[in-house]
Amino acid sequence: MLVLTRSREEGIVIGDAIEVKVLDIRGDRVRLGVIAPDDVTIHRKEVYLAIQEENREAARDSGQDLDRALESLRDSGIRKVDPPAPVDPPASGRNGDSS
Amino acid sequence: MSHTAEKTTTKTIIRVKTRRHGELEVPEDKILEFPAGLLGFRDATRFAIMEDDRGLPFKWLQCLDAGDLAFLVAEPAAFFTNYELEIPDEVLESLEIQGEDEVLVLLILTYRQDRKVITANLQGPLVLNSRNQKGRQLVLQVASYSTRYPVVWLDRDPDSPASEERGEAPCSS
Repeated sequence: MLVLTRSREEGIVIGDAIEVKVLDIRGDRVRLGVIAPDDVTIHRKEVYLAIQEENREAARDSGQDLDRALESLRDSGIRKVDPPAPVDPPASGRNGDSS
Repeated sequence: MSHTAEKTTTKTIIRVKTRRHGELEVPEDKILEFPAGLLGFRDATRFAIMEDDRGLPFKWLQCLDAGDLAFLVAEPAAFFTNYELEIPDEVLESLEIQGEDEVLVLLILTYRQDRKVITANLQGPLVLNSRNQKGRQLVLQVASYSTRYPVVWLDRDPDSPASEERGEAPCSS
């Protein structure tokens, strides 16, 4: 891993099109700004990993147990509910966290 | 797992041996393409949707690149009364989606045997363009959308107090 030390307002560039800038440092929290082309996706790592992990889990076909479970649903059916209200995370957005 | 692509005069057919659906022959116009794969399955780019024959609103997203790989999926309307999803422009463009009627959203489901519950991944929904069969898994930054949101309880009365789980307790990791 390449390790660089940067101060507030300093940044790094990756290739020609991607820039990562340190906007603010407070205690153990660092605010980063990222400038990248639209087709480059940027995600918080923990969210990305959670989805990756869940995909792996979903791919683990529980075979007959799942079949039995689905059979049992035939009679009981599925009750519809409201989905959770979308709530933005405390700080979010491609163009920088709102403070 | 094995698959061969066969070019005939007009169209490609993929033949693949699958664990869940036996040997399949999928014509080109039924092949769904996920150019970036799914998260954690980068090489799984071609899929076909198989109906589940139990009369339930579930389908199987069967991978054509790896016959052992299949996901239980469902449209949000199977569980939710008014699910809404905001799809970023960049995603609409990459999938060449021109109108809302072309959009198909699928949620990947996981059966959690220990809790006798089926959870849906609300944070990483699949978005498909039903016109050109291209799809992509989104990564949503919505705090209340869990990757393990319980949608179906298998051995409980849905009216029992267990339904309070929906509100606050996505299955913990």
